[in-house]
Amino acid sequence: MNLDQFKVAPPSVDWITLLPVILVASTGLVALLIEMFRPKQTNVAIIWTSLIGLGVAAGSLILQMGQPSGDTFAGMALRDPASLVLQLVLVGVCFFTFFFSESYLRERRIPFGEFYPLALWSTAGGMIMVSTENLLMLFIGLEVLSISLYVMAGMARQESKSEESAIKYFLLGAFASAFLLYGIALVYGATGSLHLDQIARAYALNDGLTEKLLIFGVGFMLVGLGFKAALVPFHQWAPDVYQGAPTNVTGFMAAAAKVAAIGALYRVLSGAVDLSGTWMPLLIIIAILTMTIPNLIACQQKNVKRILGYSSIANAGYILVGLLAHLQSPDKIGIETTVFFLVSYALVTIGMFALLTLNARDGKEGTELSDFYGLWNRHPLAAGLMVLFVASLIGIPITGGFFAKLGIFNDAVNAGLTLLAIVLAINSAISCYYYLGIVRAAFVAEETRPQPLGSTMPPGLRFTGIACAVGVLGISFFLTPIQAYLSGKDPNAWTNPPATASTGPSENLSSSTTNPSPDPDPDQDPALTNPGEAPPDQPPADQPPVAEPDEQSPQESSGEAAGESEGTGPAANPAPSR
Amino acid sequence: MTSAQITFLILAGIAAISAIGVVALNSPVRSALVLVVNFFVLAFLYFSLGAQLLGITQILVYAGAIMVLFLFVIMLLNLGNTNSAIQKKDGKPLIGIICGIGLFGLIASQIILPMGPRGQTAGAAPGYGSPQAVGYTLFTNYAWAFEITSILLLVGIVGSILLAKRRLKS
Amino acid sequence: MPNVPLEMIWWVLGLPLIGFLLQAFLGKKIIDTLGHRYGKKIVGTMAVLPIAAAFLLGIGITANLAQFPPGERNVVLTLFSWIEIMSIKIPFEVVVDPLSMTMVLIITGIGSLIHLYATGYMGDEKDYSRFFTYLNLFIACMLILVLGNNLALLFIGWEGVGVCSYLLIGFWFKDLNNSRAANKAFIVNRIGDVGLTLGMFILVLMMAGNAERLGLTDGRWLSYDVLLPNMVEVFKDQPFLTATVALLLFVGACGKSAQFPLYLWLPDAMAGPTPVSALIHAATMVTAGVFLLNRMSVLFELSPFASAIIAIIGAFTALFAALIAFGQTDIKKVLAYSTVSQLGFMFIACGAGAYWAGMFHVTTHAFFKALLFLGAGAVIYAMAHEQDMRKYGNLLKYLPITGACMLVAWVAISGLAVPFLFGFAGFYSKETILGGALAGQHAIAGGINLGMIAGWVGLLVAMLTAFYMTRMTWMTFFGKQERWRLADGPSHDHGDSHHADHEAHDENAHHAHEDHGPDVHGFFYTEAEMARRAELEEHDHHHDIEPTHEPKEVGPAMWIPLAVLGVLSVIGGWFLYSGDRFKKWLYPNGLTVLPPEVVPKYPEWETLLMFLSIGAALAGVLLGWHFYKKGLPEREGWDLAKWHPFRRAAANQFHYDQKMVDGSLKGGAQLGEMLNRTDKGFIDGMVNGIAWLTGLFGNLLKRFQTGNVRWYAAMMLLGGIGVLGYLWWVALKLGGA
Repeated sequence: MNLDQFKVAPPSVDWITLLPVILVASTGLVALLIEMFRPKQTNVAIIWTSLIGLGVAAGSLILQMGQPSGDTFAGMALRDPASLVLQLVLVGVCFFTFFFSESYLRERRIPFGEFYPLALWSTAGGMIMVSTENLLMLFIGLEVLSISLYVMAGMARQESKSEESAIKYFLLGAFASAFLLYGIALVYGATGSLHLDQIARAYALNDGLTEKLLIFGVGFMLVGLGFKAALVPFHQWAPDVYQGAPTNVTGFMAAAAKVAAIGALYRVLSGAVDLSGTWMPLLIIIAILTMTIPNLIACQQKNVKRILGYSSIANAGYILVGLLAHLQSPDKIGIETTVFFLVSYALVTIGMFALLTLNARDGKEGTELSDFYGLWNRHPLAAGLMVLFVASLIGIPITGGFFAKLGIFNDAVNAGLTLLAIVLAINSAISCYYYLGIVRAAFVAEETRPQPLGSTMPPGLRFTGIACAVGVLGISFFLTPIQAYLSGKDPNAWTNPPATASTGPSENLSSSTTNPSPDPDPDQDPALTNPGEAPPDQPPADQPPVAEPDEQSPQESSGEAAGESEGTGPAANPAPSR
Repeated sequence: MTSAQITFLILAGIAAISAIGVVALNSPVRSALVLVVNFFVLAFLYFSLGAQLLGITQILVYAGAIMVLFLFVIMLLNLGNTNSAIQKKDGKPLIGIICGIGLFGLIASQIILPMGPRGQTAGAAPGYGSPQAVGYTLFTNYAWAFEITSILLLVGIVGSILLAKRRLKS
Repeated sequence: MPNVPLEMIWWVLGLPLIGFLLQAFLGKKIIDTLGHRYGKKIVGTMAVLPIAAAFLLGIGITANLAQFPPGERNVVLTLFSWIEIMSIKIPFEVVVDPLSMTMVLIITGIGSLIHLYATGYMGDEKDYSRFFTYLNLFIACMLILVLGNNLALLFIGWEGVGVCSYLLIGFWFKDLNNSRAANKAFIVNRIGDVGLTLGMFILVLMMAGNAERLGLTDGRWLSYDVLLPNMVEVFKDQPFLTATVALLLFVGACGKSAQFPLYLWLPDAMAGPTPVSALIHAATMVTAGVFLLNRMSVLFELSPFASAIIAIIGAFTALFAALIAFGQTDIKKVLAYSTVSQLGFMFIACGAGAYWAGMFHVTTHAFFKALLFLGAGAVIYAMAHEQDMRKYGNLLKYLPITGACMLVAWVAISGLAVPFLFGFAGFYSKETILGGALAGQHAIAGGINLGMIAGWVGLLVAMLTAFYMTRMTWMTFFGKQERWRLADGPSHDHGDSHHADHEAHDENAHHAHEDHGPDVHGFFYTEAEMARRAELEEHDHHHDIEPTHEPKEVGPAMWIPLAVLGVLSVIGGWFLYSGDRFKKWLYPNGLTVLPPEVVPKYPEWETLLMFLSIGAALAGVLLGWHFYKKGLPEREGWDLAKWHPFRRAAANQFHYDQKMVDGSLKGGAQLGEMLNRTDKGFIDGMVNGIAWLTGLFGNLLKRFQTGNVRWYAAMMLLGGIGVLGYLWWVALKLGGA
């Protein structure tokens, strides 16, 4: 038997694309080593190492912005605006979580140094999920993310609630993973490849069996990812787990897992967009349920973490609306509104949960609404920040949440999903009730305890709160520049996932897809090029833009303030506006 | 009958008998041991089909890891020769039987009347799925996934230690 | 003067912001590391420098702008495109034109003086850097408000200054009165904001609706350079809509500029530190309403009805506040009501169509009112934080510099002048306002020339202003009695006019049963909490002035700003008025609808008006001198029972505040009761029904959240089966087709 036929040329690797994940994961390793040798009293060294690692990872992500999209390592990893921004969000979530975690964990008497490496790996898992179109990588990323989260959720071992939430999350998560894996297997069976863009090619064969396999494969994957993103009816773990897990973990989970899951869902659905006739009605129903049901239940809740758990489910519904609008008419509506929503959501979530940790003291923690009575008198800053975050969650103008919701609403209307837009609006109104309940607790109601919970506001927490608040206000201030970057001034970068050039429909396990991203062939695949996309901090000479300005869609021409862009911001884009 | 067929019949017979044994034996430990036999025989079946790597994996993962875990659990719980599970009259055996027959029917139906095209796909090239071939692929195109899987295992180890280690004095 | 390019305006905007960030992140660190003595010096310098630098840049830019031909003094600079939703575009852009630069100079100029003053005034403060953090942020927000080239940016600044004002009023938030005042300011301002927001929305809708007709391809509908020139076309033949939008914007202006229905918050806002009162609640922020009216003057010019309303509300506010000022014994309260009254003057000007006169008064008022507040602050500082004028007297002897400056300001606000020769700042601006109003060209509603009426009221108020300012000056600086040395005051009377309100209430049987103690304005606190906190406060807040106290002149950081403002109060008005400098600077701005010869037209009896106005001022001063030359009259002493009923009512704001608050809290219940009876069946039922329905569903759905993991798994499975079943059905359909 001649084994040489199976020899595979090593794939070319664009290490820069992989660098952020490698950085975050290896920071986790370093943090674990420090944990082994640290003096038992303090986690400071771990935290600073982690923060530096995350900072460098964020830097490497930011520096990549503006470089051409493409995938590397045989299609295992991908770089495009969505992946970069979502990875950046995940890194940011982890960063801010670390800032307020230490004081909280000490107050709760669960000062495990292992928390930091686990969170880092979890982040790495999420980053892998959002930056791949390979189903195997997606699954592994999801497992890295999830298993770390299971452990972190059960970190407060003295408490049965924490353990309960961990075991619940674990069992149901394993169940969901099985669905996902089965779906991946079916898709692999239908296409002979794990790469998502093969779905479209297999579908184009118009073969009855393949089509059925694909439909079921995507269906199973929907269930699995729906669980991670907590879509109704796969949401029931969320409130219990959110309530039981330590608050910093909940914040991290609510932000990171949601971002990663939605990112993965986006990849899968846009890979399977040709089949949208089958799953679109289904997802519309799911979106309606996901927006409505948790909002109704949340009105009855008395525990802030639980309320926020339901709120995060409802937010997943809003995000799903944006996603569906994009998938309904991909050439008209970009993904940037959805990503913007995710950014704003992540900021608010981290900030909000950070503020909740204020109520921890001496191993105990109060997260009932009544525990926040009189917060205004105890911590005016915290109460003020809370109002801001709640305002963003409700969607009050000037906060990021307002523009995010408005953008999604607008997209839904433009995509013809008016029903979803209406349901979204109604649900925003309903959600005011319980959100304002939180404000009421913090401001109006009187302190009931003789000795209030929580003492001072630790500096890390203060920093997190203020930074998130600045972010929430700031992103609304830089709404258009952000969206301009996200839409890449080249809508193709979003609507057509950058396809690999050399893969054929008969690809099997041993065939290789090598497409080094640095030298895309503009003649073959215009989607790989980003004409004129160079943020101001990036010297445009770095990557000479491939001159194909005629490929730009109508979005492009409307993206410019007519003739007024003599400023210094991204408006001064080299690409002409018409 | 060719030697291959004879080998298959012997192995299949042992597999079927051991499978019945898993359900029929009262002692959990014996059940588990018979299951080990079943796993090994399955691995041999794979070998006889030329799927060496699959066979090795079967032994490593199922017979090695999973069965050891089973036996640990059984011994830790000290179940012994209890009959309680069987004596209890409820619907579980019935449901189990129905599910089993259903699965059997499903597989059998695919053998008799397959949904997809039958026998048209050409057999894999010789050496396909061999350790060497998989190795080539695994350490080239799938190296990134492989590395991340190592992180996954590390997470599992760290996590289990974190959750299981000695309680802190508070 | 070097020719500063207009682009430097970004630095004008950025410097205070940088200052704010430095203060916020480094201020406390510096003070902690270097100690109070040197740390505060550095932090104070860090606070003053950005504002002063911005001021210098502002002067340069203004000088540059002045070299442009008059018609082209309107430059829009864009930093980046900010919001683009649907077809609306809102870039982050600023406009450099005479109006905005005038405001910029006032804000940064007065702002840097007051910052300098505050380094002295707040010297003993623990939260030194927090104070300057807020103050720098305020300057930045205020600059965004005036410089922004669209209403959205104006709104950002509007809210930003609101927040800063809130933070600064409640700067000493441990004192319940202060946080209460801050809450009140915040809430009352929100009422105004509703009007502003609604007005903005209607404007956007109008522009969007007419975009095609007018051929507007640019979506920057809220930008002034797009909005204002098209205003005439958009609002053509729609007097009702015009008046609606104009009045909605005016409601916003009322909130910020403390006009009659919404003036309530400003006097309470004096709870903040005195530099804050001077900067925010006298010189700059409260004039934002006048600025808005000026900015949108085209719209208001299109609606004589709305203008008439504005003029008459301004006149009423001016009169009302002036009367209330007679009943105040707290020196800052007197100045607060005086501010409200002067703002009324500015609104008279805007209503009458003499917008530039309004801006003129904004400018001169910024000079002398900031001076008055800072002077009052110096007096309070020298008098160990005693604010009650009844404990002052003969202070000119002890505080010669402060006193001299205050006297200058007193002359300026009273409007005294030598006919045909020279007048202090207030005289010119007041005169132009009265002239514009009495010209009676614009503010006409239903055939009644309300502008003219407003003008006559204004003349009366000018007299009253001179009167109560003389009262204040004499009670503070003159007379031979040094009343803090007398022992006839109540032993622990603090909270001053609040307390006076309170006692006055007690006498009033009608209100007695509604009296909550001092919580007449309490929005948030229950009685129990009030009592508890009042008890806690008792110790902190108790600082009676000792009879042996010897007032000392304040340090140079405090009197230098006073002196500068004093000089400005003397010559500022004359300089800007002579040769119509200010008028020519602000007009033509190319946007005015009223013909230019009408806008600032004087009646033919200009000379007569001048004599009338000087006469009124003189009469006021003489009256004041007559009543207060002998010191504190008995009927304004500590015994409220001896007060004249009118003065008692004035001390109580003629019960307006009380009624408003009661009205919104409890009196509203009467209206509610009435509505309740009619609407119980319908609206109530509907609202309750919705709540009930939501609750029902919520409860029902909550049942599913059992916490049982097997149940969850089963639900997931069911969901999965549902999903897959549906897909199966679809697949079957596909197979069939």
